[in-house]
Parts: sequence; structure tokens; C-alpha cells
Amino acid sequence: MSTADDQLQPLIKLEGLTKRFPGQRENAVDKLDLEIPNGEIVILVGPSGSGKTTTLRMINRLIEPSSGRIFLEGEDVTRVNADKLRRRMGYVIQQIGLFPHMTIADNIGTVPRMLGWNGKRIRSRVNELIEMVGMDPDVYAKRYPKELSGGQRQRIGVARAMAADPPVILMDEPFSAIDPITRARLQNEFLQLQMTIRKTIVFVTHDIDEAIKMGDRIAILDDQSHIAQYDTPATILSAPANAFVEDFIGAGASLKRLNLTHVADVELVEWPTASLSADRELVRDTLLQSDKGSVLLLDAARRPERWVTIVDLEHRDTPIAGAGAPAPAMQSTATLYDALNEMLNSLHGAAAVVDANGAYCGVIDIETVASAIRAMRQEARRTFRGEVAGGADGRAGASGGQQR
Amino acid sequence: MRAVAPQELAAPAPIDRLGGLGERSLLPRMLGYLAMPLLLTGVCTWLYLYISSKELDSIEQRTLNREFLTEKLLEHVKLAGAATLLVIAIAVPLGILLTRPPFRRLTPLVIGFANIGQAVPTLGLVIFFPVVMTQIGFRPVLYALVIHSALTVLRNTMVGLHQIDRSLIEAGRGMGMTKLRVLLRIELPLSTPIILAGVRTALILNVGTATVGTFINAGTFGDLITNGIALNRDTVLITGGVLTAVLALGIDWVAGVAEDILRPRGL
Repeated sequence: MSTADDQLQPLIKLEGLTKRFPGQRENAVDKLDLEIPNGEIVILVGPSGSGKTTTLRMINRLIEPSSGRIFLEGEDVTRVNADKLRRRMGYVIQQIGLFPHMTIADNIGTVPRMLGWNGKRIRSRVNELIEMVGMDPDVYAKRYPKELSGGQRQRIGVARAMAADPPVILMDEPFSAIDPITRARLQNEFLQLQMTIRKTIVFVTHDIDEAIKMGDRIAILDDQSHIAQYDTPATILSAPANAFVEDFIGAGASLKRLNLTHVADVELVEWPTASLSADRELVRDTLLQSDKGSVLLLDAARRPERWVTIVDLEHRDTPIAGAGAPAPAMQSTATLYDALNEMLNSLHGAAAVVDANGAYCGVIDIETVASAIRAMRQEARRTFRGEVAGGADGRAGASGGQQR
Repeated sequence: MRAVAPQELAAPAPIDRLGGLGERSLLPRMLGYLAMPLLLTGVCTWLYLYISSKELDSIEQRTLNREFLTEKLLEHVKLAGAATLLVIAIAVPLGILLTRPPFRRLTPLVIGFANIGQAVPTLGLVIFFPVVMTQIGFRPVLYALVIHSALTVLRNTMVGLHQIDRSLIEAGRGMGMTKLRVLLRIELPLSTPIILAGVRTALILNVGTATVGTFINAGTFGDLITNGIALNRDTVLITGGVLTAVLALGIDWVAGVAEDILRPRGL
């Protein structure tokens, strides 16, 4: 199924990975097969007790597998020296685990020191990393973890994991102990960072929304790390493989799905517009000539100002510039979810879209959103059916070759 | 007879080293450091003047002279110092060992044994060793002191290692640090304040208890105290008591300064 192209060779491959803890009757992780493609964020998500953290810790062998094999960059690492193996993988945990008695610089330099880098190289790498996570090395390098806020500590935790430039970073619920606002900011920063560093990231969370936001691919794990579905967020939301996945995604899968599509991805609707300074009759004519229920008034710089309906135009006492309702605008980088939210707020069933300068480009309406959802569904179903037909075991996407 | 109550195993006081070495806190701290030496100097001066003001008879003269006092001081310091070093050498590695998974099961056994050592009256130990070793002097007292004070260091070492946040150890292991490196770079530095508190307690305990050495010919300031009582010479008794107390407080002060210096920053 997978192509011979080197780019598509999985960076990490788990083969029949199994763990049974002493004194337990059932396997905590049972015959897990998983391929993690190079340069992608793969999310392991599942209810508590599904074995996702155990799986993650088996990848860097903090937990030794009972059976099965682990491949890193094509090399079987199931039996190699575990300490040396871990230096090739970044590791970020929920509690962050910065060493309180070491400065930020020493914390970040931990792995490079073990790898025997010289002091100068470590120092410059440390400064580079502190800058990369958006902090000032001159201010923070010599500080202790205690002197940092929770968000800053998490950033340093990520920087430390990247210190020796490992090809893969394992993250165990890295953002879950942080307040929601900071968490959203850190998630965005991390995604931004990932655009440039292009690391392979295995990320464990119990939060499906985080999984959808962060993941290039999501593996939804049932008991004993059985893969219920392994696919892109879009496919999982549009075509859940079974009842378990459906339950796990929870209500509002279609709404969550809207978070994955941006306004720029859909076609905008033509809408009747008029200048803010136009006279009442002209606006009225424009409205009557169109099949829409309102006119969008633009200012001199073509920025959307007001929605005006026929009823508003009947009130002759108010000047046209003050008629109707204000028309907030959204940029094309917003998601369909934001757009839908805006439509519901404006009561117009439509939201004005502007370009980077704030000038009007078009309108997105409920119809656009609905047809976008339909298209996504059909696309996902097609992909999904093709795969089930093609897959050997009928389990969706446990193998590597599905299209993105 | 113990000159100083043993220090309780307390969490280290929060340090004020954050945000640069705060100049504001430097002056009060220096004054705090100087208070004890000043007090002890004052006490010694008072003792010197008190003795100088007295007509000493020949019995008193035999003990209250520089040579004799220096000899007793050295005996005392040697005994307490050697006992404390021996305790560190035994109890810290033992504490480390008992916190490693394979040996964790032995913990109650060893702690129980150490408890007996501390619970048995010191005088009993000081008599016990010469009897079984058929030997008197320095070594039997040394062993008695070690048995007596080992528990504080052992327990503090174990408590110190136990209280470390497990996630730090996991983070260290997850980054590829070996178990030994985690122990040396993370566990020991982070438990240093608590281990040092235990060492300090053991040291004070030993300085106080060493006086008992006089009964089996190990010298120390205990000689002054027993002589003073036996020969009914109050000046000798007082000198012995005061010098023991001054020594204990002085060593406690040094240990306190050492603790402050050795405590890792950033905690």
C-alpha cells in the first residue's frame, strides 16, 4: 500500500507492540500496529485507561514492551540501549518536569551535555531555542524555573525537548495542566513552530478537541490501545469508523468539523452592496433587483459597515448611514466555525469577508457552510469506503497508505 | 547533659535568592550570621574573666590550664567529628540504597534497627561497646556515637529522596539520563537541604553526647564535668559545661552556614 518514496517511509513503526504489567490478567496494550509518518503530528487520543500513555512510554522504552517491535527511522530499536535511544527523542510531560535547581540554560542543555557537545555549541543552541519559543535569552537563560510563569515553563519544556534536534518528540498531555486561555495560545504557538521545524510528533491527549486542533492524524484508541480509527481529523469527524468513535467524538461532530475548514477554502457568495453615502432610492433599487434580503453598505475604503433590509429602508427618519445593523467583518483565515458563529450573531444568515486590508471580498452564508459540510462528508465517505475495501483487516486506517 | 536540643527535621526555609542576589536581604543576613559568633565570644570572654578573677587551688590548676583544655577540646572535636563523618559515610549510601526499588522492601527492617540505636540510652551504648570489644578509649565511644546518631541522617536521606517530585525523575529518564546520572544530578542535589539538616542534627547530637566518653577514658570536655563533680570544684564543672555548650553552638553555627552555602539555588 505505501509508496516506495522515502518521504513516506514512517519515522516510527510499532509492530505488534504489547505490554502486560506484572500481576495483571489483561494486556494494557495489546498487539498495537502503528505507523507514524515523518514530519506529522500524530495524536493518540482515548478515554482514560485506554493505554495511550503506556503506548507513548513504550516508544521511548520508559516502559519496556512485553513483546512486539519498535522501529525508529527504519532501525529496530526494541533492544538497543534505552538511555541512548531516549536522547534521540524529545520528551515533554504534563508536569513539564523542569529541574528546579538548574537554570533555564542548564535545563535546556541537559541532553546536549550528555551527548558531549562543547560549551560554546551548547550555549548558542540554548539561546537559539529560547528565542525560538518566543522568549529573550538575555533575560531568561540564567533564571530558575520557579521564576517563570506556567506558560513560560511549558515553552521551555518544549525547547528542552528539542535541544539536540531529535527527529521525534513525544508529548504526554503537554498542555492539559494549563489554564484554557494560555493553553490555546501555546497550542497556536506550537503549531506555528511546527510549520518551521517539521518534527515528527507523537502527542497524547484525552481531549478530542485538542486532538482535532493539533493533529495531522489522530489515532483513537479503545481499550488496550486497540485502534478504533486512525485517520486525519477531517475523515474521523465526517466518517467515524464505528459507534465507539462516534461516541468519543461526542455531539457536534459537524460543528467540530467546521473548525478544520477555513473561509479561504470555500467559494464566497456575491451580495448586493452599496456605498454608505449612496442615496436611499439607489440602495432600495439595488435590494429589489437582487434575490437577497439585505444590502451590505461599504464605506469609502470598501470596508463593510452595515446590513440594511427593506424594513430599515422604510424608516425615512434615520439617515442611511445609521440604518440597519452593524456588519462586523472576518478575514479569510477564520474557520467556517467562526463564520457560522458570526452569522448566528448577526441574525443575517451571512457574514462579510474582507481581505488583509479590511476591504470587502464577498459574503459567506449558511448555504455555503451547509454545502461545504456536504462536500466534506462525501469526500470522507469515498476515502473511507475505498480504504475498507482495500484494507486487509477491515480496520480503518491502521496501516499507513491512506491519502491525506 | 546534651547541650543543645536536636534540630527538628524541618523543611528548609524559603530562600530569598530569587531575582538576583537581592542586596536588600544581604545586610540582615550578614548580621544574622554574625550574631552567634559574637554571643559565643562574649560567653568565652566572660568565662575567662571569671576564672582569672579566682584564686585557683592546685586541683583546679591541674585542669584549668591551656594545655589541658586544648587537649580536651581536640579529643572532643575529633570524637564528634569522626563519628559524624562515619555516620555520613554509612547512612547516606544506605539511605540511597534503601530508596532504590530492589531494596525498598528492607526499609522497615533497617529503620527499625536504627530506631533501636537511637532509643537505647547513650550511656548504655557507651558501656556496651567496651564490654564486647574488651577495649576502652576512643573507638568504643566512636561506635556508640555512630549507632546513636545514624538514624537522623539515614531518615533524612530517605525522606529527602522520597519527597522529590516523581515527574522530575521521569523527565530525566525520559531525556535519556541514566539512573546513576538522575541520582547524582537530580535526586541528590534536590535532597541536599534535608540530608544536610540531618547531618547537622547528628553533629550536634555527637558534640553533646561525646562528653559521655569520659567514663571510658576517651577524654573530652566530659572530663572537666566529671572532675568538677567528683572533686567538688564548681569552677571546673562550670568550665566544662560552658565549653561543651559553646562548642556545640559554634559547630551548629558553622553547619548552618554550610547548609546555606551548599543548598542548591533555585529551590
